[in-house]
Amino acid sequence: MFKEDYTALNQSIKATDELKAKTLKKVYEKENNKFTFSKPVVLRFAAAAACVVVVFSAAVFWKATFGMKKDSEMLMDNAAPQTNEAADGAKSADSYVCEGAEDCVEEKAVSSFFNVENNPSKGGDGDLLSRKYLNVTYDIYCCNVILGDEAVDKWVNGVYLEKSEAEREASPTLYQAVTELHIERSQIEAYNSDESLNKGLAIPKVILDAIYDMDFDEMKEALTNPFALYYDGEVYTARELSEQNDLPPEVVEEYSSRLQDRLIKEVGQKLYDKDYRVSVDGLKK
Amino acid sequence: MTKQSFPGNDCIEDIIERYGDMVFRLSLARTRSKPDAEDVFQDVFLRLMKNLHKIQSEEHLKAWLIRATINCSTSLLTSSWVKTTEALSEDIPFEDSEKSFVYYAVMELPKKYRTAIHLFYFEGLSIKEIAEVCSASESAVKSWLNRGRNMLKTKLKGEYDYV
Repeated sequence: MFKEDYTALNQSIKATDELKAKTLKKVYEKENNKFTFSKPVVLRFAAAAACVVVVFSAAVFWKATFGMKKDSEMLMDNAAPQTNEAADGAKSADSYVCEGAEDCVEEKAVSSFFNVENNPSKGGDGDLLSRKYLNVTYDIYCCNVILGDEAVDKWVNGVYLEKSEAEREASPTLYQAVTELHIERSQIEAYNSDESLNKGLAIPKVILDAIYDMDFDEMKEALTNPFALYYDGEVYTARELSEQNDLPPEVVEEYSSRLQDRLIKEVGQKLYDKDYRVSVDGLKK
Repeated sequence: MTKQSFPGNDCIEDIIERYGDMVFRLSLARTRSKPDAEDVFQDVFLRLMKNLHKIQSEEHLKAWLIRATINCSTSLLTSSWVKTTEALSEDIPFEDSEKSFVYYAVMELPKKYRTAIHLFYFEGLSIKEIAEVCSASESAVKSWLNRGRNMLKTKLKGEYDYV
């Protein structure tokens, strides 16, 4: 009979004493709060850990790639105080862009630009002391979108690169592009509002306010890089000042003092001592 | 070592001794792999330890163990690393090895069918009880048993008049 034979065969199958002992050991270990995991739990834990690593890596990559742009949005949200300050600013060393409470927002934003783009302490390879204007003003991608690559390339190669270095540095590149290519504010605003555009690539409102609503000197002051110095209608980088300058000593001294604080804050004391101290001390002398 | 209490002064060692073979046989019938059956065996009793306070009677305990064995083996079988599990290798030391083909014929049946056959013929569960532990309707269990029997008849090639 099938039932008898099947039953008899199954009687031969028994859990071994070893298996029972092993199971009991696990049961008591569990009872005593010792951690033991079955295969599924170990695999699930490993999978969860792998997911965490992947998500964390993606977040780091995202921050490194787009964090700079996100900060520009923050800058845009807080445009009013900074714009007003720039408009009201005196033509003196006190007009150092990041001075005062109102410019803290800008300082944060600009610092973050450097964090991802220039700051050598954060993996960047740029020089914090060589740019006159805010990083975002060196990007004319919006012009390419508005006018097309051909028109912009023609301007870059036929006009911009034909200028002397002093002329190119006389005002922000974005300002030169939009004025010489006759791009209206409404066109950039339309570009900003394009939903398909990565928000990080939008031009902050504070930048548009400076370019379109301010006179030339106010615009330059408003868009001056926080590591540079705006004085009497001109923007000076620390590199330029360390080589030669005819500015009043007290202006340079105040600037160098503030620059030192800012650099230490941005890159840390160790990197400051290694890469920037000589330049800053040179300014003080 | 602290012993887990159980109604009737039972402890986990007694339960393993009493029902260990049943759990292992059912695990083996479900997984067709000794190592997997051993994993299921351990999982079942680890689960039991956590739920022992919910067990109310001997019948409840047996039904709970069968149900837990089915659940644990299902979890294992649906895990990615056992999806390629091969059929049970013929290394079980049966006392009557000449009849071993009967056991392997059952093991070759689809999982639902062999589970129903095992619980019905060996554990002596009724169709209603099998339906309960398998979370299925009684008609489904009847169907599994009928199809399993028919497949066994074919496999055993007239060895038995009635399966």
